[in-house]
Amino acid sequence: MPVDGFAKIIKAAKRYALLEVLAECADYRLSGTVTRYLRVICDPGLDLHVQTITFDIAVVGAGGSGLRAAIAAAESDPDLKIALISKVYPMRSHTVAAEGGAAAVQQENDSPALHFADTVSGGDWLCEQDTVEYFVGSCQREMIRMEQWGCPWSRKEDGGIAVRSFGGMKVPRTWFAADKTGFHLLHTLFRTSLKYPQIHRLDEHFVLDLLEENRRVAGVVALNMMEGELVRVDAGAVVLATGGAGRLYRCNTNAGIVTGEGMGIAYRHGVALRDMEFVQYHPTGLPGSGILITEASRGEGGVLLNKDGYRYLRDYGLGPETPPGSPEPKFMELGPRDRLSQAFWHEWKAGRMLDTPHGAVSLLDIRHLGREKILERLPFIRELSMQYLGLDPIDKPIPVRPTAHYTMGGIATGGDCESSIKGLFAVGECSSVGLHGANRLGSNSLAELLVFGEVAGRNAASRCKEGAAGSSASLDAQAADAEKSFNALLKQKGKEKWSVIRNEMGLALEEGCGIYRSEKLMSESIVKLAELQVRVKKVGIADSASVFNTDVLSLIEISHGLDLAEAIAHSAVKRRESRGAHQRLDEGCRERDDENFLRHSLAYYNKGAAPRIEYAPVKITRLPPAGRLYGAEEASRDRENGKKDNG
Amino acid sequence: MADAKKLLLKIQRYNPEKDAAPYLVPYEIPLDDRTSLLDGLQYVKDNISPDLSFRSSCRMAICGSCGVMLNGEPRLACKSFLRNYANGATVEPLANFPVEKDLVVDFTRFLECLEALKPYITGNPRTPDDGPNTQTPTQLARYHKFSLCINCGLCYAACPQFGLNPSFLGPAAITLAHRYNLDSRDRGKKERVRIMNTENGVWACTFVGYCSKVCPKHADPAAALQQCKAAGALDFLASVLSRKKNRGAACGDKA
Amino acid sequence: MATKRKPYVRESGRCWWKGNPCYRFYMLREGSSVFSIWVGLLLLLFLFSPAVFSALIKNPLVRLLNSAALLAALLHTKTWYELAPRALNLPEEKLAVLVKGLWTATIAFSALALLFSLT
Repeated sequence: MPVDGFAKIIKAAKRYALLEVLAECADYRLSGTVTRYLRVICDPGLDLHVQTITFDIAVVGAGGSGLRAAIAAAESDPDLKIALISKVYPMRSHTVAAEGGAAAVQQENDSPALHFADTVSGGDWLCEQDTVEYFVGSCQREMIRMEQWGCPWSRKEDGGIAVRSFGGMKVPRTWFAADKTGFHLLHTLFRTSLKYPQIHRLDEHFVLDLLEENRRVAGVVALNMMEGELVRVDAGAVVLATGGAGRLYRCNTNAGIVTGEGMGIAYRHGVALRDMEFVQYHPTGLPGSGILITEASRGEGGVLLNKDGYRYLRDYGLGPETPPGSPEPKFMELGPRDRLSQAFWHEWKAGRMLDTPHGAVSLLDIRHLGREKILERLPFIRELSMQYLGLDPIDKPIPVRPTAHYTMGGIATGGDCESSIKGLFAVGECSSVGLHGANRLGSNSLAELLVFGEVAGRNAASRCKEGAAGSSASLDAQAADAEKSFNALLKQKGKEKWSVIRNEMGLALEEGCGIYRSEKLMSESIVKLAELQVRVKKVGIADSASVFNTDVLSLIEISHGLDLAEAIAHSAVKRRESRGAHQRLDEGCRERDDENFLRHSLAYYNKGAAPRIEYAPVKITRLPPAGRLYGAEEASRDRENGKKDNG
Repeated sequence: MADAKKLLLKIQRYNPEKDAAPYLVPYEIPLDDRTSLLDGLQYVKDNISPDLSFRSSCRMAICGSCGVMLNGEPRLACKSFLRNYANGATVEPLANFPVEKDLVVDFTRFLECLEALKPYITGNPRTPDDGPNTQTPTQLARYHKFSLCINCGLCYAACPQFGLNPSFLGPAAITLAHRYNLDSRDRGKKERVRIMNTENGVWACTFVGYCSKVCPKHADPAAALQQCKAAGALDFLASVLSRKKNRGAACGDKA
Repeated sequence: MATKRKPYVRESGRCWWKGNPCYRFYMLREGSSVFSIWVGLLLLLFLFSPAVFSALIKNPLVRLLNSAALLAALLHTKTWYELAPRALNLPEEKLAVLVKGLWTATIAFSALALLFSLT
């Protein structure tokens, strides 16, 4: 490129005239480096070409929670420099696939107290009640903020916000944008983040390790996937917002990137993973692929049928039957996800489900909603059914089956989102802030991203000012270690394949830690996982390239995955009761046991051995443990309580 | 399954550290009715060539990662089914973007264009304490179609103008900027129209229309660009008229 | 630090439009405008020398050219009516009505013009 061309670019860049820079650079086919150079020129302190970059805050993961945290940090102190690091472009994050909606009190007959009660009983009392309290009080504010940032919430005729019913929620309080709520939330957040020049995106950077000194976080080491080079990001606070680990299971609703290494990294640094045994099965995934069919299809009035066309949920404590198309909150199809998946399992064992080459299925019937409503409220569900099953739900019921969906557990944090390492925050599905307990209610997780994303961002902004650990010799050594082990992995030789290990791990978890669990099956899974831990060291890496080497990254993802799978299986086998998504079939473990197990499990990493499982108390403030009732049973209890209150 | 159906998939490979130019490699893929191209690519990575690089994530046509050229046509790999390609198929990286490795292209150009067009609500002073804006379903419908863009880049691969002139801001970025121009909550239209009316903005579009044909979400970028041209022309007209009026006023002062 | 990247850029050659049916149709659509130059020249000729014009249009080659021009105009009208209304932000159903309206108006106007010129 001629010198005068470059001079022109620099001149334009200094004025931050992005358009001119783009035009100049494109002429020289400089695409791909523009923003990078531009920012270096505007901010000489930020030379992305050296291996160490200093920021105030590093946010790892750019889905809903990461973006919300980055924006909150930028808003609470505009002078902060924030790195937003993600292994994919922000728009690819798995938040994009959330369909149904986000919970926040909206109707006049609703209140935060009702939302609180639904969440705590939905979580089978394993929730931190002070955290839930803060959450239900903050949801609406966050939803309104999203509205003002441009989220296209579905509306009522008068222009107000529309809400829909969701499973386990007593009152309709799910804000939605047709059936692409996550998509619209993610894109709204991403585009809003472009407003803040202090947010510096490091797209397609894969975080390999944390830097910490004396239990104080100091930054991360990441791989620039396109360059194949390691970058050290020094930061006074790190926010992990890396999502869940649904991909550990063979059949799941999750995107391919939901592999859990964010949790894995914190875990290897001695941070506890809390309540990992609670893995949610979503009752309506497509057979085979596991693609999600939103709960909103039931919230709008869809019904679940067995092979005889019978609405089997009435036999599982969720009845009596409500008329198709007029769903009653907390009755029948609007029961919580764990109960619905368990009902499926029983019907299947009784031989009343349809057999297909992709496993047994029940039928989700939305035909009675009519063409117009389906097109308005569930267009994406129709598109998915037509594309991936070749059937139009306007004319035919959709075959569905329970599919691994969500990890309730994760990096243990307090209500302020900070973990046991000072300055290390976790938020969203990778965290366990104590909101979901033993079973998450649908539409609470999108709300969680926003509410706790804001909390994490704000708290990280104040924590980072306390000063990072700086570049001491120990941090340099840690960074060097990270580089050394990455380089070793690149050259690893062996006959094993990560794809085989991934498949065997998925199967082991599905058999041992599925909808129903037993001592025997879980122990078998534990043995299998230990075997895979040995074999994963013998995986050979075929790709020698530095540029976009996804061979080695897949191996890293899967080796973290194995750690998490062990945390799940060991936490599960030690919880000798049935609660929420953790249901056991063995003698003496079939009921909830508050006396011994109204406690969080904490899994600690134990290099080369099984994780150490400890327990911590659950914070109960307002709502003491009680029976978890749905359908007519709950209604009659409410009536009795009403009588008592009146008398 | 010995009698399982198979298909020959030719995949373009390129390792920048070894190869001077990309080349095609044939792979045999087992398939059934539901095998998507993405499943096929993952099959190759899992079983034959772990060093094959491609982007993918949601596998349900909403994240926009897996755009490729399938038999010369821009498509999402997860939304293309191999049953429709009985005679085999050729997979290449998305056209009009520089190829970095195998099927991975450099996509940053798109993000830069998007950023340049300020695609966010501006100038609305409302705060959460004021409660949500009112927006009727009719007002929502005005921009809703254009908000469905998943940033997959297929329209850039379909746009010959972008191929010939990489400075063109391109279909998706302009569509998203237009989406905000049509949003009743936004006050930033003037600034965006100014940017769109620059040399590499909407006027670089010659309405080939292929972008709307390949859009997997029917966001209709071609229509958005047409509407932007109309808005741009009106804006130009208004500025000429107001200049005339100002000049008239100035003359009046002198007299 | 030297980058290991070596992005491969595929240039759009002069024949970029040949490989894709959509591009070929686009070239045809844009190419059809050549005939409007021809018709324009013909009309200019009519203005300056009606006699030569009257003689010329009977020439079989000119007739052929004019038929081609008519087809080109029809093609252009069709594509124009499909594309131009998209500059209005209307729902698909209304667009369809508008396009029908445009065709009705065109046919009515042409019929009137034909009637007028024949009488």
